[in-house]
Amino acid sequence: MLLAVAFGAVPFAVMAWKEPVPFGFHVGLLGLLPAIACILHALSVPLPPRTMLRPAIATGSAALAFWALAVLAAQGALPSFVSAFALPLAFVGVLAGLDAVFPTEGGRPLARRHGFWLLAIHAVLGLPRLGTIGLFDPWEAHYGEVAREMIARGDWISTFWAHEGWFTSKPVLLMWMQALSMRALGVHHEPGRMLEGASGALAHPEWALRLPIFLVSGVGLYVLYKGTAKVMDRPRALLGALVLATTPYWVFLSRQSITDMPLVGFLAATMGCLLLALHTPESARVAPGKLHGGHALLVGILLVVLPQVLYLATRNVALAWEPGAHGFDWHADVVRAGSGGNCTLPGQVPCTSAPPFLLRFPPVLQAALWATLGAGLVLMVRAETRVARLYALAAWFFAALATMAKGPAGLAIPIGTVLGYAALTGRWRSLVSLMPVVGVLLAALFVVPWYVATYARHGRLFVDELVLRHMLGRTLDHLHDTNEGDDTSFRYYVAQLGYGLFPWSGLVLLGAARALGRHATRAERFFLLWGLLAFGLVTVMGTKFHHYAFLAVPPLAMLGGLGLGRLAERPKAPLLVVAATLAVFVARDFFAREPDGQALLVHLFTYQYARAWPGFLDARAPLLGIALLAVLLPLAARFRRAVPWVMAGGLVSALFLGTVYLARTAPHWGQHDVLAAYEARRAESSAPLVAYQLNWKGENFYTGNRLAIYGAGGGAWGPPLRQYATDLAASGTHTLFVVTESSRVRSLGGEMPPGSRTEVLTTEADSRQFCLVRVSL
Amino acid sequence: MAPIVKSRPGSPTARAPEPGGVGARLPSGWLDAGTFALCVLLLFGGIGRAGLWESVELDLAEHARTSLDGGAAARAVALGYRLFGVSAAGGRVVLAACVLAGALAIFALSACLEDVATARVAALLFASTPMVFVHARTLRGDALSMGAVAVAFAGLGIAALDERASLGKRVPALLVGVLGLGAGYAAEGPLLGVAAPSAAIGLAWLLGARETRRRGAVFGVVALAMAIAGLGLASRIPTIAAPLPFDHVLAEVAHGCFPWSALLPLALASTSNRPLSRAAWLFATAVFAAQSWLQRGGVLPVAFAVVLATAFTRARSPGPWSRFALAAVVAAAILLAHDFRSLPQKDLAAYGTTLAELPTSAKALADRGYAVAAVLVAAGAVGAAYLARAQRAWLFGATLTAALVLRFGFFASVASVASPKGVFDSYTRLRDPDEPLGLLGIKSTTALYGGAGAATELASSQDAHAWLVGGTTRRFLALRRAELPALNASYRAAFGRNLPVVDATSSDALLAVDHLAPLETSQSPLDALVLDTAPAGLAGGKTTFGDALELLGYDVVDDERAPASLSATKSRHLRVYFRVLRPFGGGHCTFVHLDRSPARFSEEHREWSAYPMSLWRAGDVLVDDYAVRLPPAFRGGGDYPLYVGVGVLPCSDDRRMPITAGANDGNHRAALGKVHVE
Repeated sequence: MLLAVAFGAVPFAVMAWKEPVPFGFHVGLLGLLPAIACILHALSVPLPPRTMLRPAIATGSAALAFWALAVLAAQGALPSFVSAFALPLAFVGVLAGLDAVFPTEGGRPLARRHGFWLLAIHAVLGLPRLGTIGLFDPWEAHYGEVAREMIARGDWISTFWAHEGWFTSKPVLLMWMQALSMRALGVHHEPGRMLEGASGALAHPEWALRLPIFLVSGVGLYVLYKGTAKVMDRPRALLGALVLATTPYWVFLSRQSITDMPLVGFLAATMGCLLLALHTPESARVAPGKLHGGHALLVGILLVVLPQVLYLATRNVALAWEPGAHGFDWHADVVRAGSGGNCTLPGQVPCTSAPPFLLRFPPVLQAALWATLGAGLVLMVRAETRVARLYALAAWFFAALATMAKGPAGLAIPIGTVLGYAALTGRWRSLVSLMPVVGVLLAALFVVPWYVATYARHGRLFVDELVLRHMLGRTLDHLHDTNEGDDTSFRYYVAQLGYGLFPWSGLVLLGAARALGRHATRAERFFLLWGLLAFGLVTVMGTKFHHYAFLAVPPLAMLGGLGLGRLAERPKAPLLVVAATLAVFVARDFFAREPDGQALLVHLFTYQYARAWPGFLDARAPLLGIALLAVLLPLAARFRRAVPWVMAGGLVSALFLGTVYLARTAPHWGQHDVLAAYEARRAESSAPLVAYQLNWKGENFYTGNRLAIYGAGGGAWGPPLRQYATDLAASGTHTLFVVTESSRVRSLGGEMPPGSRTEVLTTEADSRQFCLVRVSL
Repeated sequence: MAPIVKSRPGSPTARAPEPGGVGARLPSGWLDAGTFALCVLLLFGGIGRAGLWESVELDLAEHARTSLDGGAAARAVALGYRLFGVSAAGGRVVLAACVLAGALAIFALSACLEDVATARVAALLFASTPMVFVHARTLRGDALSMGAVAVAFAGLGIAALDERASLGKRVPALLVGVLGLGAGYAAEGPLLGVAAPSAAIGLAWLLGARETRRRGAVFGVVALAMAIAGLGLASRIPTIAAPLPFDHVLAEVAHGCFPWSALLPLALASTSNRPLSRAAWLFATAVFAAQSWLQRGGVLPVAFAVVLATAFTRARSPGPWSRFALAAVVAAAILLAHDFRSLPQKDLAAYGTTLAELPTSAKALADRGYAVAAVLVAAGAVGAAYLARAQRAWLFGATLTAALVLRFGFFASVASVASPKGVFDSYTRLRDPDEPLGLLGIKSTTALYGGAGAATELASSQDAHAWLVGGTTRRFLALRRAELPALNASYRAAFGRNLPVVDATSSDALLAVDHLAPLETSQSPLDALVLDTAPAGLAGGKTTFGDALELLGYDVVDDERAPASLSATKSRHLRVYFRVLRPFGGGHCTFVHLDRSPARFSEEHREWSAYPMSLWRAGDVLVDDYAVRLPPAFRGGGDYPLYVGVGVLPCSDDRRMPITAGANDGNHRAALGKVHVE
């Protein structure tokens, strides 16, 4: 245990250091992992057998190769087509290594492990062009900028965003994941350096934001597959997971660095663990003296809790090693507002410092409290040897992560599903094996510390805004949604699920019909209940966005996949016709509503549904192919041999949507290309950048918030734009770059000093929505 | 548990109701008679009680009365006029008869292909579906289409799919079916009226067992030929340029057919390859496709009723429903009830037209009716989940009761409230023989249907004012509610008080008079909004805005208008009183801010649609009534500063009417001090 403390001192020192430590993330990790290993040893967790050593080294090497490739890709040093092959290859290498580390009991070869194929396909679908497609405004860039500010401001508790100040609309997990990933991949977080790659190349910080999402998506798919395979069989569970992985919703949201995949991915993993827990005999126990999944769970708990405890403790102590100051300096916590390095720019929030709201509950005391509770939890988990209960604890683990990502739905849906399942099957006793008391403690230990820390610093601000306004308020009322004129009845999400499950929409109907029947399997009934709860929750919520229906996608897609696996078992002809007809009319919407029908897919995850589809983009031919697949699918159902071909079609469709459709639409729904144009010109001139009447968030992220903000609606600081331009000219700067929406260029000209000349530097092909303007003063 | 009975159509077990099935314990004849009587009551009961709903019914009524260019529906209504006289009820009776014919056809088809118990369920389900009985009792065209298509589907279905039927039964059935196709063609055209029912039966025959195909060969081929002919004729129909999303048809069924639509999961769970289920699902699919293609609807409830009825037969679906399917029913009932509560336009989805706007006064009735119906369905499903023997009868009974609650509660009232008939009845009751009626925004034909006799149509509020006050005897004026503000302003200019209204029971129309008779009181909705003097005891100080408006103070009342405090959990009304100092022509909004930093409750009233600012005249006292539901941030209560202001349209920035006297917060908001929140 002393060794664990010694290793733990490394990340503690990195966090406590007064200045950012170069490669601090990597150094901290190199201390944290051995510290966890030492804790496990102290808990009498057995050492891995020697036979595991070589495959473990091989796996580690493949993981290192994956990391190195990701670093190169994020730095812009790896061409897109190379990363499209190399990263999936390295990921498959990791999988192959893991197969050697954890072989199946029967010794099935790698090629016959369905889970391996699922994750390999996930890599092939998810990694190509993951980071070379620009961020979609506003959400990806919004959360990404909050994560960047965490690093720039050295503050991982009080989330902050540009000219609006404290960021209070989402819980913190996604931003932590993004910020850690940015640190791991060496992304330049400093103001004005975001697009600065290696050797003058254009960086792709999108890799850092989206890789954690890709990994969460893989965890969700795999654990859900494992749970389903336990209740049904591996081939059908694989079909279900593949249908899920190839739905547009999953494809898109696996490539969107927003809170939805962390919620739904971890929720899928929760449900997979619940299936395992509910269908494992209570008498089954882990083999004594051997490594097992419970130990992996301990590692997971320590990885989540320890960094939080260490970070909280360092809010009251700073480590300095400079002339005249050696050692630790104890101090009170301080609440610092303002964008790191940008406080003095027009439109930005001025930098201020203030004491925390609760002086009597400093972070170091909070750390002590969580450390004590964490130790108790670890001991309880360590003592558990019943397999079903370990699965239940894993379910609580993932549900807590889902709640950390987007709020109470992460706990409410699994709990509701399990209660409903117990009520409808009469298996009330199974609830006891789900360990509700320990589970609630685990969830609280994950979720509560950040809320307590923000309360101690800001009083009711985060509680009022995040919990009451954004969580409760969105449930009861309309908040920021953009559905004016739309039918917001239950139909709202039926339509989105029709598009978001395409080409499997008809198949899902067949699967749902099976699940409603008297001969449904336990897994089908479990998914049905989950789907009903998720759909019901998003439907009764006052605030509605298209992507909220994603919550219901995993169970529905699994029903579709399981249905595909059972279609050859005497399908009911009328329903096949119904499914095919439904697919025809869903497909019709993509074509008949020209040209905006093609935008229905991008609207599944973006904000402004009124934004027009660029007339020069044409995706109709591949969409027609997907539509044909959707229509023929139910009709091909009578032939078992058609299933692999149908699935192959689904994979091709998913690859198209993830790599081509997204790449073509991204410039018109985001600002990467426009700000890359600024980055290219910045090398020639140090002229400043202004965001004019723009609040789409990409402008803040891609510039590291190094920009003056005028007319964004939220800020009231600084002089008028004309005054700013006049002052610049007086100080000898005669060029100004402006990023704005294309429709605002004319009014921009009117705000410039007389005699100024404006020149639009980007074209419609760069972005139909946004443009870069050079103003000569 | 009841024994599992596997039966084939035509076998003796298929004809008799199964133990535990719907209506299993009463003699068959009584049940059939009861079914028929209930269908008649649902479709015809009180058919003339509500007057003509002008925005919904007048078009067809007038087409039928003046010419025959309204198509088959107008000819049907005209027939009603000829038989029963020109009245709303006379036209509706024929439409209701068409729907009754449809119900009988569905009964016959279900009895032939499945069993009599299923037939009773199908007929009752059809007749008690809101979208069906509403159209049967409203002068719209869909009732004729429903009846025609149901007859076509049933006739062709018996001819082609009834394995037991002899040629002597099949041929007349085919003839009836063809008759239905003809009527369907006239009512809905070749795609929906001909191709949809024929294709469904033709395909159901084609996908049937070999024996079925052999016996019904000629008739199946005829159905397919009819379908092809219908499709051929339909190919001339131009494609819709901007079709609605694929799911809009689903919404029609879900909201328009509630409470039965909540049982759709059971229909999905009970799908089978048996003839009735096969034909019903294919029919539903064909109608869905045709309606999606044509972007108009009204026929889907026919297919829906048959599809749903197949879920209730024990002969076809042995064993109890899955509890998970019943849980889906509960979920559907809850979600649909939520839609009805939160989206008022869904309350009248059964009318299938946006012309039917829910009268504000009927919203509470709608909420109550739909909530009771949802609870009944949910209770039926929960009960059915724990009943082994009579679960079908239990759920059917609960849902039928829910449908009856809606039929004889909300739907019976809404047509009466929406129709101006009450206004005409009041006029007839209150007038002396020589006192005339004027109309503003209401057509004289509506008065004719309403029994008010001849009336003078007036073109504008100025004309109406001049006419109303220009007589020597008392004059009555029936007017649309939307016309009241302008007319009231003219009246106030002339007499310094609000225009008297003697009937405000209709949601859309009012009956005004030039002066009240002794013992009469005015029911004008503007009496709560435009006052002559402000009440005493208002809170807050006086403030003057731009020398045009004087803020007199405010009070807080609850929903029953009793004095109260603002509440973080209950709805309240904050009423701000303004006196007009000089007319200023509008272009402004009024707003309130209640600050609880960083949250704020804010509300604004743009242009005042209830009494537009352009009508305000010096001396008027206006009541600015804000419905206050405070956001969760106010939980815990306290005292918070209240501000009132007058913004400049579009009220999206800080431009405001300046405060020239009184407490100004620096941003031209009147600072009214702190208000207590419980």
